[in-house]
Amino acid sequence: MIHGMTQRNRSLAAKWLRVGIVCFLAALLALNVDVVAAQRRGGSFGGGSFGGRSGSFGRSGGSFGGGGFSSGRSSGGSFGGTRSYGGGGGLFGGGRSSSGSFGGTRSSGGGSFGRSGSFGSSGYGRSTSIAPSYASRTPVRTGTYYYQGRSVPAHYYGGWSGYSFYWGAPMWYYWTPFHPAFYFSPPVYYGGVMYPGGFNWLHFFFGVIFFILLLGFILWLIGSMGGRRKRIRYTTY
Amino acid sequence: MNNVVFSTGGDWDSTTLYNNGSEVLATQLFVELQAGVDEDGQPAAGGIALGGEMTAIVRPQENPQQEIGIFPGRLELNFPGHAIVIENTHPTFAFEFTRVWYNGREVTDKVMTVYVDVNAADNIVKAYITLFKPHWITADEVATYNIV
Repeated sequence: MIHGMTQRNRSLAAKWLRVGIVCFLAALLALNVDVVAAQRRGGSFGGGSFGGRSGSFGRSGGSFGGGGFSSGRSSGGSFGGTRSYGGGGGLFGGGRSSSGSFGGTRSSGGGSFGRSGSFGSSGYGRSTSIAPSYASRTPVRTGTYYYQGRSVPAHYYGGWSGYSFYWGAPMWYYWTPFHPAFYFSPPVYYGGVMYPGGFNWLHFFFGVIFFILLLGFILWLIGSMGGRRKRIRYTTY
Repeated sequence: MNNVVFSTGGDWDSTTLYNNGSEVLATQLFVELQAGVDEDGQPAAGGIALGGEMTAIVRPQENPQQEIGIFPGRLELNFPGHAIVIENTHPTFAFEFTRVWYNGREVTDKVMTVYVDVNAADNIVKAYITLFKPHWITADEVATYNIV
């Protein structure tokens, strides 16, 4: 009698891979990585190299703190050794041009950074010649919105419509269905005022489709992990 | 390599068995394939890929005690309203290379059981095929098709 080979193949690696995918999705939803803010912190104006604190470098002849470090240290400088300056008399050593602490020549613009114009980039928005529906209502409060290189008045009407103004400084996750701003259009400029852009029904439809697919995927993962065995019905034809 | 074709119209007179075009006078044709269960023995999707075992033999009339293996090769089973094809051309008859068709559609990833017993000595003819049919929302189905 000829028998076929009996084989039981089950990949534990595939099971752990599905577990890892579920954990990754959960972490992605839980975390709110503020990438732009992190970048801002890295290059902030107030706390870094341009803080303008006096004596952050180059202090000579003084101890650090109340003389507690006097032992074992020379009297020449706070951080040991004899602080010396290179020839030339510049604060940060010699060989520097007298036209600026970091060399170079001043740009033709009025600032120190060789750049002209306003800060940052304009927020999202669109202009219209048709009065939006909010125009006839009294705003709850007013603010400003940076649009096309200038600050313009913005009217807020409370509720969820304020999320429309989030597009003034969009974060990457505004383009995902996980943030309310995704479901609101950028504000509309009319008559010198920015008004909320209104609910974005197309994005809402996309969001519904996305969450249905996401839910189905998660259910499939859970089912594949065998955490809850599905009911089986037996039929005979 | 064997190319066995079994056909029946529903009675012994219309029942024939051929191998590579030549008629085979047989006492019994016996085929049993078991697959499509997971490690716990529960029905699961995957069919042949989940592993299993298969027995496919013919007992000739001149020596009913002898068992002649059908595979490696191809076995075609034709019943009224049903057609099963089992193929395994691997030289060592490795199970994972088995392919199954039912009524023209490949069910290799769904098949759980194929049972065919055509025994002239005991006047027994029995055949059925069981398939695993997963469903997205409703309960999965284990469907048994009684052939004879």
